[in-house]
Amino acid sequence: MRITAEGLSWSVAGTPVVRGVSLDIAPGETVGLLGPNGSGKSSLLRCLAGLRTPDAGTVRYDGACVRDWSARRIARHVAFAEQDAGADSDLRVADVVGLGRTPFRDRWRGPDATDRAVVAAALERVGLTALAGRSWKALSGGERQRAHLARALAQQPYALLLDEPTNHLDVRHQLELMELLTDTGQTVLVALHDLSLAARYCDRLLLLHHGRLVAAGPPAAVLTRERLAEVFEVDADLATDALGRPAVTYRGPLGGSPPRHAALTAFTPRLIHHSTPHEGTP
Amino acid sequence: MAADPAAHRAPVDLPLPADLPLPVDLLLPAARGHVAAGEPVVAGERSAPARAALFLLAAAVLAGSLAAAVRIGTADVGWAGLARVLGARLGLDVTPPPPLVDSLVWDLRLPRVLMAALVGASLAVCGAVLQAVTRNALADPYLLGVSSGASAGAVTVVVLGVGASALGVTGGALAGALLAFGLLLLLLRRTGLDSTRIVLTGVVVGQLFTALTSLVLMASADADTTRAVTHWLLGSMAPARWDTVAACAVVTPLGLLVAWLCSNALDGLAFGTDTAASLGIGVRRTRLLLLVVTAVLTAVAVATVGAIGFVGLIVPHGVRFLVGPSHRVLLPYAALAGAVFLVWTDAVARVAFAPREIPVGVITALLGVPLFLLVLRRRGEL
Amino acid sequence: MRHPVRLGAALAGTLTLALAATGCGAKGTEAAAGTPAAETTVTSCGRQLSFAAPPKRAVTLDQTSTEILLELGLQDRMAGTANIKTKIPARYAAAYAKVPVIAPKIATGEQLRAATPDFVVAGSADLLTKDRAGTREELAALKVPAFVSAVGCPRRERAGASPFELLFSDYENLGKVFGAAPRAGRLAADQRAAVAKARKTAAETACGGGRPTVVYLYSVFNGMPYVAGGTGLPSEMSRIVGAKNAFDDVKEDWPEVSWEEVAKRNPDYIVIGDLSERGRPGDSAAEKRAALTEHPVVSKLAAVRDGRILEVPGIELDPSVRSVHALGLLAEGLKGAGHGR
Repeated sequence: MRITAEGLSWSVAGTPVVRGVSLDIAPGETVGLLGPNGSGKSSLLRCLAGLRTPDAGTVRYDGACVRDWSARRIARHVAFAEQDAGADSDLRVADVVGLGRTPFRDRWRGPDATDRAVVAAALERVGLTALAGRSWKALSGGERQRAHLARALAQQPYALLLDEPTNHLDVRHQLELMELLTDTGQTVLVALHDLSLAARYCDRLLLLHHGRLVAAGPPAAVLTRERLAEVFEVDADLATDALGRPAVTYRGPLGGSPPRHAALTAFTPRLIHHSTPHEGTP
Repeated sequence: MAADPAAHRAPVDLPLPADLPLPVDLLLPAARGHVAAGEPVVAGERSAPARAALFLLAAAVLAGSLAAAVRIGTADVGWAGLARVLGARLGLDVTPPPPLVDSLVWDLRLPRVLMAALVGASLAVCGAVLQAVTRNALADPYLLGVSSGASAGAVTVVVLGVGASALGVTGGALAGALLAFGLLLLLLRRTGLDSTRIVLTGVVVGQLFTALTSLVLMASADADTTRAVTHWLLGSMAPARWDTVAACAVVTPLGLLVAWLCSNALDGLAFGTDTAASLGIGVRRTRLLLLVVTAVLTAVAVATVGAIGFVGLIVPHGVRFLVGPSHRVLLPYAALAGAVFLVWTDAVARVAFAPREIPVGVITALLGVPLFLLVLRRRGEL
Repeated sequence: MRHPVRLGAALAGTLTLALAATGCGAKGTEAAAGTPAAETTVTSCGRQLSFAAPPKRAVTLDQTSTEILLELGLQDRMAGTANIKTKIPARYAAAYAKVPVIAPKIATGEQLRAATPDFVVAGSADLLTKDRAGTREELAALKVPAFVSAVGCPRRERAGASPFELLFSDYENLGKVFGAAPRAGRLAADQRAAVAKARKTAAETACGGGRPTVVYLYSVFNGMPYVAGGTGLPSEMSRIVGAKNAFDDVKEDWPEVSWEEVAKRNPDYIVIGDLSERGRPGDSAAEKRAALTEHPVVSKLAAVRDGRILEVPGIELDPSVRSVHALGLLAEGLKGAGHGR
């Protein structure tokens, strides 16, 4: 499904958070949404997922304006997963994933055979089949992220909108999750903090800065040394990895304080000096 | 393109138009190899007939409790007396009982036992619903300030005599409860009805009406009136009659049904507003609907029998411990358990200090506290 | 405690005399019972109660009602009593023993119905609510008339009739219902005479100087005094004996006030309600006397310093068949202690 936005703006309590963003995500594309903290990634995702009504601009799914769509109708098209949702539930994992069937379910009826099959398949996809009967509270942060993804998959969406789904995941699970996303063959918009991970798996990247879309395009075109300096305020080297993707190596933060490696070097002898006499003290 | 692509998707096997990209299809042949449709997702999960049997068993426990509780009271009429009353009322060929014995059973005890079941079911479900809506394990039906409003209304009628003839205590309490809830909604009208705001506003409204109740009592009531009002505030099934039972018998099942139809949404609300909304749940509308339903159920219950504490707090937790937190299952069992709990606690209230009768709210608290501790301990939360 | 015994003995004497002398009274009762066509109707607290025959199974819902019926010698027509606050006086003990107690405290609707009464007597309308014995309407539908004492009827004009007159009207109405009018009439006449006597004693011993003020200390709870307010019987008793209740202006029966307020009103007399029979801490007259003499402010009041403290049985300060006894004690006490300042 194609997701397009034109001139999207959204503000909270008078403070603009998303400013005039226009974008176009083609069917089947995996797009990474990048930007520093507070750049408006989460808010933009929520506008696109129909969870916030933009102050200005439009969101279209396959060309249809979604402004007047019901929550249920939107939920039949896109699935959304946020980080750290519902820490206090003690639903079983299978029931949480089953929530993804909500938009297809009649209020009167419980889960039917199709629902159960879809839930089982979704659990299988994220590798949580063994934990299906486990309480949500008993899951680790990483297992919860995967369960949320399974819930989104159970929605059988035409597009997945994910807010930092790799948080709490170890390296192996991060890679597995990104492969899984690209394997769905579905439209995916994923907000990420890890620039290398984004560059490695996304077809295209969108870069947000102070609520504005400052760059969009293939990873190699978006991730440049100058942009990283301007948007993320870091000093980084960009190389091309064995797969032909940009690989980011950070030298340190830019601005006021001296580069971190320099500071560490300066303090190292003193640390050694001071630690020796106190060795063995608690 | 204005067409809703999802419309083409059910049933799953329907061929899709060629120009539409496929949804994430988890029922592709590869997935089917692993999962046969209809198999339980969680190993060892009860089958549908087993679940139905369990529910029928629980319903039978309620029916048995009702029958047993009708036998228990401050006056003893015996099984034979009961049989005679019911036989005569059902038009069977039995010697009619003396009119006063008939009245004892038919006008007082039967409505009382039925009222206990209805109010118990109502309070337990309201508690479970509000615990989910406010995401607060300590929520109970009185969180919305409804009971404080009811008290203020009842006290105003009893002590000041305002509207005593037109409303009566029950009417005054109902009016007070709805007034308090109206104030709550007024204060919440421009908000997204988020959990914290509901809880805080409910506390504020409750405190206001509690203060009004105390003011009226302290300024105008004599000792006897205060005692009568205190009795009512603690909750007592004694005022139950057929007219109030009828009102509850209409409102309660309706309210429980609405709550049950929202059970999927209640599950989703545990994961926060955005996740719930992304599942197609109209979050604000659902919260508002559920607030109205719980407020009306609570108001009707409180107006007749006072603010019986603890049922709405402990029964949902106990039932969650037994059948799990999924509201589709939790709510019906909470209704049954709440009914059974209140039927028995009221029976205890009638005979524990015989021939004196004590307010059932005292018993629910006395029994409720240890049960609550037990549940918390078994769940490893204390 | 010499006074109650003396008066009790006197009353018992009167009763014996009455019972011995009234062969005609008993005959009259039988005559009333034997003519079912004559329907008796009385009005009680806004409701008309009709009786084709005198009740045979009356249930009294509180001690005041119980004592009135026992005083009228109706124990054989009683099917139950409830809500005993304190001891039944010795002179009723034998009669009381014949009547079942359906509930020691407030009776429930079930207990009342289980007693299968044909008549219910309540000292207060509060006892006939849905969460207690059931409403008068419900009982009427079951053909059980419910009599509410004129004293405990909320509809009455509290500022109007004297509580004593309301009490006497109860005697007369109940006498009519039970076909015991002569006996009830005598009881009312005797008590009217007692009231007149108290009034007369007061008038004879008055020697100018205005009306003395009285504080009636009923109980002390949580360190706070509960005294007689303007709507209770003590205000009326004070008027009869030519005195004035110092808390006449508080429109409650037994308001909770402060010791400072008691001191401020500086009464000429303090009447202590002796509740020894109730037996809770602080209920006895001695304990209340101690509370007065030990209080830093109240102990300095002239009434306390000069010992102008009277004791009466506390239960008699609420309207009941025994109240004229307290009135007599009050009239005597005020006389004995020297009237006026």
